[in-house]
Amino acid sequence: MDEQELLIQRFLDHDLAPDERVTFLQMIDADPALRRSWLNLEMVVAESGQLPELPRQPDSIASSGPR
Amino acid sequence: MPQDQQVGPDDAHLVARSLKQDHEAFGQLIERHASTIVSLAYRMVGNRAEAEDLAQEAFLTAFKALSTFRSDSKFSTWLYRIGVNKCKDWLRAKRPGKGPADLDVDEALDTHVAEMRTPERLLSQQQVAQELEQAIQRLPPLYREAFVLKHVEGCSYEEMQAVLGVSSDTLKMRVYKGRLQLSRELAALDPTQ
Repeated sequence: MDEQELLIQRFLDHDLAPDERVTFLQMIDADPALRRSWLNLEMVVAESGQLPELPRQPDSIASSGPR
Repeated sequence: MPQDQQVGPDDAHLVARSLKQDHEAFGQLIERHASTIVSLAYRMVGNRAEAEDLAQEAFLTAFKALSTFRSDSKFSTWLYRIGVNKCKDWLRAKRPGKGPADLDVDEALDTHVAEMRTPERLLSQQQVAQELEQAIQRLPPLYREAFVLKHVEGCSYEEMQAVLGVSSDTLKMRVYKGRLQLSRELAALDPTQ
């Protein structure tokens, strides 16, 4: 995972400081490829939040996690 | 965000009832969309308390302006736009004197929201959800459990750490890699990319 990918991931997790967030928004405004990567990740996050409960997998610890 | 998996009356029905001063119907709209708007605001302003206040303001604005909502568009998109504008106003007020940088942020946000709401994307929402479910099942187990806890179950990293007994940094990396794999798989399905 390169630096730019890490920056996007941190943005998605609300991990950026205010100045970093502004810098990030300016970066994605200037770089179409970076913007596309961000949009694809945003879509994954947004769509995942709308999914119904997933079928539980026996090999997943999440199968016993809290709801 | 689009609500293709929603249960109960659709948004258009609830909007119509809200316009007849049915406050319970508007309450259902709030319940349905609150987490998305709070999350959007939190991501933009970086403060949970402010994000909740901004989301509340967005819903209040939406309620007052409901008569201007055009029923040929999606309520979620309209509400998302109101939320973005509230956050932009907040950023502008909190970052005075930033000048051009402030403007750049506004323009960037406008562009990104518009791109996320293209008809092509909206039309394929249901297909995307199905593909996403299948792609999640294909993730390596460690990535899958971290991703599901974070984004499907809505856990914080602290909660995940308590459940899984793994450090927060390790969990973040697993979530990052899970998200990246999923985004690449979904992007591969999009003929425009």
